[in-house]
Amino acid sequence: MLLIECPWCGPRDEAEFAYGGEAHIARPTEPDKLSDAEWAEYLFLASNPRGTYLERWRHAHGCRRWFNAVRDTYTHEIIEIYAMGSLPKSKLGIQAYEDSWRRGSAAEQNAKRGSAKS
Amino acid sequence: MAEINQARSPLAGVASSEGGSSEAGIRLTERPFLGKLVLRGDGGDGFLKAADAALGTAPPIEPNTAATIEEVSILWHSPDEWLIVTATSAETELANRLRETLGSMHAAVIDVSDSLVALRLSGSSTGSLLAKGCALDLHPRAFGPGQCAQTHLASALVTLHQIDDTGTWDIFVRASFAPYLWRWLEDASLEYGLAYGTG
Repeated sequence: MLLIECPWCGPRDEAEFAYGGEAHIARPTEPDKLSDAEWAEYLFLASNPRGTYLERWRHAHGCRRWFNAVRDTYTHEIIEIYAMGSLPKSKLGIQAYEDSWRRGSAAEQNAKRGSAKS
Repeated sequence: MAEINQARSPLAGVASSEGGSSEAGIRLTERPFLGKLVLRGDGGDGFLKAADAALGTAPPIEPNTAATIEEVSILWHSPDEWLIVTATSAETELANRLRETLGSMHAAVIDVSDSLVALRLSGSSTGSLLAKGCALDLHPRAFGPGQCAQTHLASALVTLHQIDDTGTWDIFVRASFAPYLWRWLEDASLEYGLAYGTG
């Protein structure tokens, strides 16, 4: 059982949390400009690293807030907890973010182009 | 609106209100028919001021803390959600007052009196009892009077509210879980001696 530090409620038992999957998957703003393969990559492909992983959690049986975590999938160590909408600050977290295949994906480029326009 | 004398607690037929061990480390009682409201709002200054005007005190913004003023307790549930506990039948008037002071603000007041059951635990062994079913650190060095927490007790989702430093706690649990939690508390209390009622 993991002890997870809710940014609001403090350290709580893993059973109080719901898992929200991989963090930082930007939704394409112009999906019609993506090929089926690129869209499928956004929709279905999840990273599955042995090591540092950026993921989302929700304190479902507490304050019901979402937050992000940097977790090592091998040791289960939680390296960092950070707010939704922000980027990791720990060295491992930054590295995992920058090294992710997603950063260069067509879907993320598409999402960035959309947000730059608006 | 139903008359109060027609009200039936979800614990009717399950909970005892008197009797039990004469040397009890635990006293367990239901606090039936308390008024309960859920207050939602952005937690900003304007919201807190408006809520303060109706409640007589601002909702606590420190996580896991509660404010009590006379017969009203305001328990922090989330940065934008509070549980307000009032005396029996006082909730409607308080809700109306809140709605009035909150005006057109993006906020909500919901009457949840019948969805939650309130239990009162007291006695010298309540700390050990809660520790059997709750993973949260409730030791005095980590938790104290006036603090509250939404957490699991024997796997049931509860709100714990520590009333004083002599082992008095209020437990709020969903009505459908209340008979289960009551029986679990009875069973878990056996080793400390259990008595019912406020004593």
